[in-house]
Amino acid sequence: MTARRLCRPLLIVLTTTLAAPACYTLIKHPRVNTAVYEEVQDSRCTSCHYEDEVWGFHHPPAQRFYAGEDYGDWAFYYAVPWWYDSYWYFVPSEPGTPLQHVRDLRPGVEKGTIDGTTGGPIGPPPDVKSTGGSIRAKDTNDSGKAKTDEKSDERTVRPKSDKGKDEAKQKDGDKGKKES
Amino acid sequence: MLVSRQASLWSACLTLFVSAALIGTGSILFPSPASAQDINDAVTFEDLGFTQRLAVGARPAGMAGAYVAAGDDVYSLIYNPAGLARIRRIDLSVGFQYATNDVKNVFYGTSSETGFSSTTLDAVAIAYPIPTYRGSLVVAGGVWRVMSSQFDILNRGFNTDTGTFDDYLLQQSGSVYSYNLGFGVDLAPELSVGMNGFILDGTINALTQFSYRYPPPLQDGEIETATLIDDAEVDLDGYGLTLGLQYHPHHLLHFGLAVTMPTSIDLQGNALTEEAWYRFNAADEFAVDQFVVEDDYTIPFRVDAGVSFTLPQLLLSLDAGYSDWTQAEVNNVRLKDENLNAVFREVIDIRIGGEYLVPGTPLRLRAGYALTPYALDDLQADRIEGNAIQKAKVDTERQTLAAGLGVLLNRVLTIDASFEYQTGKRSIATLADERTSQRVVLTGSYRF
Repeated sequence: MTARRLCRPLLIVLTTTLAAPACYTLIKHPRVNTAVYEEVQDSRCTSCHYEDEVWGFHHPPAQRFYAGEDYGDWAFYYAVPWWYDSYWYFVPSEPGTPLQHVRDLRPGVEKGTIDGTTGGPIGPPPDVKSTGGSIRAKDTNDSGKAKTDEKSDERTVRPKSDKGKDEAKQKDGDKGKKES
Repeated sequence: MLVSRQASLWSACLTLFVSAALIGTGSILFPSPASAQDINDAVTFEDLGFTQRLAVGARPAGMAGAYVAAGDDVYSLIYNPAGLARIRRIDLSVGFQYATNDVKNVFYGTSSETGFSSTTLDAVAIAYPIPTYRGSLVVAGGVWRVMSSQFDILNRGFNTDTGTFDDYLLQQSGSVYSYNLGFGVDLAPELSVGMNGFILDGTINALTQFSYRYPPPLQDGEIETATLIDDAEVDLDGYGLTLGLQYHPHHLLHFGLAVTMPTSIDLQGNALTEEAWYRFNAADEFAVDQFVVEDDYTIPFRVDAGVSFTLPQLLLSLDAGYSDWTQAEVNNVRLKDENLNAVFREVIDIRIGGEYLVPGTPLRLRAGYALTPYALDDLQADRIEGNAIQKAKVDTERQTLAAGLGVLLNRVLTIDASFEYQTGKRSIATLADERTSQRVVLTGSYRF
């Protein structure tokens, strides 16, 4: 065995893998002049962002984990990127449930609710500019009872339902033009 | 009357040395055929542990190493570096292993048994996901104990082929550690690739002792008993490369493919040999010599493919690995018998594993089964002579049963433990070789 036998496949793989991430994996966000919620419908954005998740990015947490829904602590262990400053996490609520429960997956932080009436503190999500994504909307509910964080007065969750989306859009519009 | 008696471990050097010694003492030398040399090298290949990869990491080991498609942590670097792309948090892992090994031989009808245990580092590794806006890029590095050179064997009994009472003992210790550096990257939402470059390093100590005694009647001047003690220490260096791919066509279904390039291993060291010939009614003779050991081993290509299913609370994984061991080389020469048939064979191993997440608890239970056939197709009964070689009959194919469990503490720390039981038995007319081992791996992984 000589080093020469390793060189050819090594070069091929290196070339491929170094070039390929430019096609899909992005470590720098593309320059965008303006970005409001409505513009997420733009194909330039939807190629990366979920339709209803402006501030999140394609890091499907459950896709490569176990099948099913709620894996609690395991979801934090496996699915939440360490560079995400926000650890908000949707837990689907039962139909008719007045509040959507939200869990903060940081170690040591107690469960809270969407309005912050119980549990640990609910902090504002970070600026998208610095984090590249903050919210993990794990699932949606059908109730349309979108609740937002009143304390932080920031976007925290957006359900898929039209009603919820409208509410979220309105809030986004109020805050709008934050993302660059 | 007398034929050459050679030690198996460093056979090339010893053959020359013993031959020279015997010629010097006026004995008649019957040189072994070239194929005997090859089989000696092949036996050494197996004794050194190069023909079997260990399942590293408690979680993969608990699933019998079925981790090519299922891998999603820092241990993917070994099994399939593409799995690194599934890591979202900085992953630091440390593991230790404890193993016991037993070798039971029936040598020309006489049973012998040896056993030994070892406790060593299993792994120290870290994976660092680079922040991405889309996809995944994870770099990882670590040290793994990938092969075990721990091996004791005792062949003792009356050799009916040579008409001598033989006593052959090999005590060997050492591990092969792999220093790895690699990465995994998403090429598409459902497709990841990865690469792992590794350097092998280790030290192996081998003490070979043998004696053979001729029964009476003897004539004056004939050898009554001959003994040899060979103490060798060698440094091991090697390098290799593994390329991997994972494809996730559905969130319930995952495919994996890993190709390990031919791995080159270089052994360099020294050996001290002391020999004695006790002659009947004549002066005894003694000889001490020192020589250099320098051998190059090549482990052939290996391809692993796997599929895993993720069901609610359950992960199932199936791997198959192929390696054409007929391409194995020692000093750039393939090993063949006197009919130019390869002494190694093509091998396909199968590994099946499962993991069950106990609902509502931080506990995961694992089990696995692996069928890992022997690469060496022949057995050698007479390690002193380097002879009595035959195609082996596999009585029990080498297989492993594994079980394990893991617990998640405070959302960031997993403690995993695994237990493996391996057994296998081969035989030829003059030798039965049964090996069993038990291994416990304990791993702690912290995610920042």
